[in-house]
Amino acid sequence: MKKNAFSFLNFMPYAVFFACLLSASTANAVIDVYEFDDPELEKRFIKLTYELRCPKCQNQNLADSNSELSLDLKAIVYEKLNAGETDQQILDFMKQRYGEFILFNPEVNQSNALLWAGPFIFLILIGGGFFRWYLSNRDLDDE
Amino acid sequence: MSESENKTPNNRTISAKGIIAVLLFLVFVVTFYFLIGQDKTELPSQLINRSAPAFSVKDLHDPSVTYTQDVFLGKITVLNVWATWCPSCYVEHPYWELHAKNKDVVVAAINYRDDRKKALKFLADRGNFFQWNLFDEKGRLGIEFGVYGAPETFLIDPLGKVRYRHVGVVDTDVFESIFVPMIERIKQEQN
Amino acid sequence: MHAEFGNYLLVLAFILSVALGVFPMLGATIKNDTLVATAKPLALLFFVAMLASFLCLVYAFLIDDFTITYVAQHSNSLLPTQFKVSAVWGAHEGSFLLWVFIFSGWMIAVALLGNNLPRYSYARVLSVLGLIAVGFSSFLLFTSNPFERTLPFYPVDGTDLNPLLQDFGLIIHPPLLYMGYVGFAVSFAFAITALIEGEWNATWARWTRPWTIAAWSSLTIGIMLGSWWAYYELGWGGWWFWDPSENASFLPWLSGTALMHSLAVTDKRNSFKRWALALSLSTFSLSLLGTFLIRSGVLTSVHSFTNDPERGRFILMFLAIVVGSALLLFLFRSSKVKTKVDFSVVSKDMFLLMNNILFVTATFIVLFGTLYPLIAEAFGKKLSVGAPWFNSLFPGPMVALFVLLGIGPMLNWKKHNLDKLKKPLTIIAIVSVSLSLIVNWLMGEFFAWVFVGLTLSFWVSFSGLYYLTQLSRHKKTLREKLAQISYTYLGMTLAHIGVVVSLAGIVLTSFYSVEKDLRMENGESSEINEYRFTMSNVELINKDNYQATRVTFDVYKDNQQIQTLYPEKRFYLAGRQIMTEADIDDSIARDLYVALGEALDETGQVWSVRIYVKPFIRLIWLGAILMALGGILAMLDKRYRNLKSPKVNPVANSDKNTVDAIVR
Repeated sequence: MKKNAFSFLNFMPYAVFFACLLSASTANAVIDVYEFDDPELEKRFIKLTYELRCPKCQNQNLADSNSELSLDLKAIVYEKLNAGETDQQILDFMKQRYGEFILFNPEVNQSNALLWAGPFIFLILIGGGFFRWYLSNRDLDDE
Repeated sequence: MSESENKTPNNRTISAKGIIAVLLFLVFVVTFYFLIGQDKTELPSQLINRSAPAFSVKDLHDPSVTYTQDVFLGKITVLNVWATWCPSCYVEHPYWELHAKNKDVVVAAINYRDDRKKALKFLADRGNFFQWNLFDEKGRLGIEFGVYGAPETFLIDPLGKVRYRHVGVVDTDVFESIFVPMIERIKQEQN
Repeated sequence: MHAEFGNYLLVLAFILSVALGVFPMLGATIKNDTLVATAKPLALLFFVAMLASFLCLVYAFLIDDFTITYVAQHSNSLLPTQFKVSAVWGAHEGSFLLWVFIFSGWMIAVALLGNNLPRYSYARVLSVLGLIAVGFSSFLLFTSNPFERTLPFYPVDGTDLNPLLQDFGLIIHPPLLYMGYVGFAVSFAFAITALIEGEWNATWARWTRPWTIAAWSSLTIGIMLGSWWAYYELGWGGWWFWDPSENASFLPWLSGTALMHSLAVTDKRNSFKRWALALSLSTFSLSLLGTFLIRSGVLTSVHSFTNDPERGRFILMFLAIVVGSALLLFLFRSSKVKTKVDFSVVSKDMFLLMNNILFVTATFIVLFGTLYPLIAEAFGKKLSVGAPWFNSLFPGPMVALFVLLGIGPMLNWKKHNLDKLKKPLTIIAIVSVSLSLIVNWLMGEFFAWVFVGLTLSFWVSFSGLYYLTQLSRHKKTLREKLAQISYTYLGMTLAHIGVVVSLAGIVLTSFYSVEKDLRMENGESSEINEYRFTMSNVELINKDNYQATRVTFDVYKDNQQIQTLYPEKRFYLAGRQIMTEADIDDSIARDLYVALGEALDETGQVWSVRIYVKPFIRLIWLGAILMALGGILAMLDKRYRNLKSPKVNPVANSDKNTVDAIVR
């Protein structure tokens, strides 16, 4: 198993096939069932599970992850949504316990300023550079 | 690309921008060199130097006993998170017999996301070296502690603050080189 | 025997690559014709050695030779034959062997088709490729040798190929992806040769253009297949995750796209030369960077290969040498001649310049987002940069690009008077906005991004088609009209329409997809949009290498059964792994996607099920196919053939078959 090209299967348990069939063991659950009365709540649930990272997986969000921890965290998201908490409260709850690592959508704050501003700085630098090059070398021969 | 006369470029010196580019590239390569081989999976604990989370959880052996975060007060606690489904925990368990001999600490545990019967059998078969054992059946206490796998081990000071978290097996080497110096430091702080 | 032979051939290939890297280059420098003449035979031999070595490994897989570690770990005697072949590139060592083999394929293509290059340039290009081959083949030989034996204690049977990879997608995705990745080595070699010779001009651009387009087209298809494979195989219904491994292939694609466009300017106008050189060098550098990121384990990705520090260091050193020397060569050799900029703001040149600024910015966004967690970690901060970040920044430059794309191709080089274009462009804009609104209205809910995306899709398609009609407006029949338009323009328009077809697919599927996680019992029905899914059967099936539970879903629309889907939960016997195999009913307008979760009761009659209805998702991949076809068309243009006269002033020689100035 060590040299596995797709190592994310490593945490898939080597349970026997029929064990998987016959028990509702959470160990194999890829898809758990959360049913919502309010479609708005369901949308928020989907959005949150896509924006939260499974802390023990390689690079997966809660929605796609099949680890037990992800199932627990998804259950918490579900409970908190139904308890009327806001998205921000839920994200803060997760961040408090697992750190910024769990947020796939990095917060916009001072310590992440470079991350969010980087692309704009780059655009200004490269755009400005070309603009200067264009203006200083321009030599239009009017026909 | 003609094969005749190689035109000599009229500017053979390197510009300031060029030097910056080369330097940036070097920084880039060196940074990556040191990043290779590092463990990317280890997450830093969010609880370091903060109070352990509040909880109220039943004992593994005796469900009528309930523990709260006050259990940490007044003692240095080494809190191990384990489960019977965790292969490394089988490797780690014998070491707790050794660590439990340390007079300065209370060695305790959270039985994480487990089955009570299996857990009790595990301890009966292999020896119980934990002074108390919290039964975290649903894994909610684990999430409060920011646990993302087992085994994990927390070091909690007499004020109930988390001082360190170790992810993975705490063998003699880890205990002597990381835990013991920290325990000594906490003891000095107390005096 | 075959293992030793394969290994021997790798050693031989390594020696040949060293010879190829040294002799022709030396020969071209000291003007020794004998040494120069070694280029072609050495390149041919390198290819033959790699081909034979590759076949040795294929053979080892076919005969189940588990004395070879790599075969034992990634194959199994129960594996169907086609997967035994594709298992060759199912993991690191074999996939890198395929990589080098494909590289040798590009090399021989240059050796055979580049005969019309000047003699010394030809030798140098092959020699640069030889030097790159030294790095590749030594990496293979010293850190990732697929022919290592497990003797004397070899397993009776193999571990099995990861079930995710036992699939048609894996058979074709890596070869095409690698073709794109390493194909940019050719543009790189051309650029290095140009720098060594001190001659980079329109002729250079014309040599390198078809190669760049060829690599770009393969990479387009490679990425598209990867996306498609992830969609149907991983069971998550997603088609792009902004995972580092995807970004690693997307980076050279973006940079390569910028390169293709800047080469057009260099070719036609003998301008943007240093810029095109820089892009040629950086595109291949990004290919190498991607290889490094994926194969060294510095980034946590879903698809990363084994984390082996030694391999990481090797590639990093190779990357440092290749990119470092290219950078130095570029800085010292590319002289800063003050070129006259003779185009005005409204001109094809200016629009291509903006195209390049935007594409390079897009490349930067992807690179920055991929590497930022590493940078932050070096400063002791652990964070994630995921899909939401990319999704909020990446569309910016893309929207700007698509707006420009509706105008740029119609403009003349140098200077264009917009007066005559104003009317058709206004009409196209109005039609696009109206059509976009209509589609939005038909789809139900209004989303700003869908409106923007569709408007731009119509805008680009219509303006492209309008341009083609303008180019050929003096001809009567369709056949004559098509003959009037050069392959370059036809290919370009096709590729541009392709990219907006993808765009339309992306916005439609992103905003109108419905995802449901349900608990369903045998016999139960569930309605999603206008479809009703009825779970009608649960059965166990046995195959050679797996057992599965297959659940039948009948799909109804307006009480008419339209389809039956059979998602499976498979248990692979050799690797003891469980896999979800989704079943999809695909059509251009929508995909119906059903994946099984878990059995929720003892009898296996109740399952958790994930169902998606994904409108127009096929457009994403269809668009990519159109892009690649456009690339192939453009590559076949007459102007790249018979380039026997490198000394002719390319500007004066401005082609008759590229009807630049037809829209006057």
